[in-house]
Amino acid sequence: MIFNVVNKDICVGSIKIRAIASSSLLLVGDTKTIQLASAFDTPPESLIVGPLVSVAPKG
Amino acid sequence: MFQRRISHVNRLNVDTLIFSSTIQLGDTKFIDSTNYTFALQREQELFYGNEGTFNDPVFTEDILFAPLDESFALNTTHTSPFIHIDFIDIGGVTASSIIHIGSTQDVRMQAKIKNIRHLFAERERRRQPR
Repeated sequence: MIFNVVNKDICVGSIKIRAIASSSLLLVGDTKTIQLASAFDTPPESLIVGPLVSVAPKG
Repeated sequence: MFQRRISHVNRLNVDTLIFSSTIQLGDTKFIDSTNYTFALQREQELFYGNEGTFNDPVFTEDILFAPLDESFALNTTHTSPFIHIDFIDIGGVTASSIIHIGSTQDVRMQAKIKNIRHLFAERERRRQPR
């Protein structure tokens, strides 16, 4: 497969962004590769119902 | 070397930049950004200061990335050597994020987040409608 891309003129007036978070990227330019990965863990056992106890304290 | 354009931004406004975030002006070769977050939400404002470890599997197990050795016939032609943006307005940049004005080659970004909610009492169950 031969993949041909022609990028013509880009002229943007304004970009408004509220927030860029959690290893995100705002790129104004060219790149060859981008690899993104995200793991978000909030399992049922992460919902603790109980009294005031410390959660997994450090050593 | 692949073809890269010149990024031209007239004005960049960023209000807040925190937690190892970066504003990069100019070209780069390789970006590798990682962010681990342990978030503990409580019903009441209570902060011990010594809680949380990064021993959880969500942090210790590696996320697999595909190797970058795939041969791929890509022909890119740029009719204009510029990318023009007049104004960029950003409220906040956080948690190992990057604003990159310029070209790069390889980017790898990862985020691992553990979220725990701590409630102090069982809620009364809502009645099911008939």
